[in-house]
Amino acid sequence: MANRPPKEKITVSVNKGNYAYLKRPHVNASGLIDVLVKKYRDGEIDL
Amino acid sequence: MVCVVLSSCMGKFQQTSINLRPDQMDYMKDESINTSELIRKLVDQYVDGGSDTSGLELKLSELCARRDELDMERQHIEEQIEQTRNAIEAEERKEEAIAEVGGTLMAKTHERFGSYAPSQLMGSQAFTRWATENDVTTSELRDKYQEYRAALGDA
Repeated sequence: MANRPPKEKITVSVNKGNYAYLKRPHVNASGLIDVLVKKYRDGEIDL
Repeated sequence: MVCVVLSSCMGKFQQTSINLRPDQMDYMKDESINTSELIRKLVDQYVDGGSDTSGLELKLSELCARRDELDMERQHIEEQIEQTRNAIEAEERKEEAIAEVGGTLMAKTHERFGSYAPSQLMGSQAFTRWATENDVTTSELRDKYQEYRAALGDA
C-alpha cells in the first residue's frame, strides 16, 4: 500500500453553532469537511 | 481526508485545527482562496441549508464499508470453523485407526511413548516400567510397539 502524503495543518474558525454540530458524536466532522471541500472543488456546491 | 481538532474560542467563532490533504491546500493556494472562510461557508451552508446530503452520503458509505468488512470477517470465521471441525474429525479418525490397529495397550503406549525415537525406547526406564505394569517383557512390548508404529506409518 502506498504511503499517503503528509497532511498540512491549518487553523480555521467556524460559527459556534456549527462547532457544536461538528462535535456531535455521530458526526464525522473530518470526513464531512473533506466531502464538502471536494464537492466545492468539483463545482457541485455554489456558495 | 481532512481531520478536525477543536481548540479555542474566539468571539462568535470557535477555532479548529484542520489537517488538509496537500492537494487541497495547493488548490486553495492556486486559487487564492481563504481556506478558513471557505470551510466556514461550506459548513454554514451545509448545517443551515438542510438540503445537502453530503453527511448522510458519507455515513452511508462508511456503513457500507463497515458491512463489507464484517462480511469478510464473518467469512473468515466460517472458514476457521470449517478448518477446526475438519481437524477435530481428522483427530478422531486417527484415534479410531490407532485403536483398531493395536488395541488399548498399543494406543496407551503410543500416547506415552509416541514422541520417543526407537533408540530411546531401548534404554528407557519408563518404558521398562510400563511393560512390567502391563505384564509383558520389555523386548516383547518394544517389538510389538515397533510393529504398531510401522503400521501407523510413524516408525
